[in-house]
Amino acid sequence: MVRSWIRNSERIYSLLVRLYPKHYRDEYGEEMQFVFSESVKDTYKEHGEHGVTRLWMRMVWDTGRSLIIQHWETHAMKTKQTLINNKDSAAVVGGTIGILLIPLITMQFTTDVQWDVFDFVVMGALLLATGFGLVFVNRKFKNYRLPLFVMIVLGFLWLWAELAVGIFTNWGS
Amino acid sequence: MEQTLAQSEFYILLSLAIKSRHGYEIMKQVEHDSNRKVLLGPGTLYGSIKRMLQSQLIQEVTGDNPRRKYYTLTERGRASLSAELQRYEEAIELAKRTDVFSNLGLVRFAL
Repeated sequence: MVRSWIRNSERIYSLLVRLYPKHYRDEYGEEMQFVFSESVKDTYKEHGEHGVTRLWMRMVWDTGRSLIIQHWETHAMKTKQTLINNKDSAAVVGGTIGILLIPLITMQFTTDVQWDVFDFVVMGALLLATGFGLVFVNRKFKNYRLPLFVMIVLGFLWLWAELAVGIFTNWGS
Repeated sequence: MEQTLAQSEFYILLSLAIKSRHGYEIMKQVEHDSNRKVLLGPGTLYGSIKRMLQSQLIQEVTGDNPRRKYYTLTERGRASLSAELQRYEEAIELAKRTDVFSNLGLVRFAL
């Protein structure tokens, strides 16, 4: 009878431990089960079945609360890692939006700047292509990145000028 | 300035002030030191241990039982515990100077 109370409690708790995130379980799962096992043995010795029932009431609260915290912390850690891994892409998108805001805001105060939707789309595409081009070169061609950076930026400036006023072509008309 | 410790973290640091302990020993010591006011379950205990390892207040060490993980205070943990105890001491001193205990009817502390 004594053994069954303790053994069943240990079995149930080992199932609860499986609900924790894997990395947390790998690190602390065995220790948590040991602590629980010792607690339930001591409690049974001192207070019997009622003591074990009271212990379980505490454990349900303790486990539920820490499960939420550990899953939340794991989720936050993964999100942070994803942002760190993609910080270059985030910078390109953020930079493009920031640059496009300049004509958008200026248009509200003067008639000298008049961009339509097509202008925003073309400029947005140009900026994104340039930005991601720079990121790609930075990652893949570290040894030649400076001349490649210059080429990409000059390419961007030429295309921009060509589309705006036309230098060698009439794309801008 | 040292960051204020959570109650469970304070008692865990206190339990490790004398010697290194494994999880169950920490739990029992915290229970004893707090007069059973702080009862840590394994979830809360190891959640706190994880955070305290990350903030380098404690570190893992080898102990008597090779199957268990033992923890001890780091220099930062020791400093943090000292600062916390100092804060408590200053608060008690202030309360005594300003006769707060008597005014609150806490005769036991006022004596």
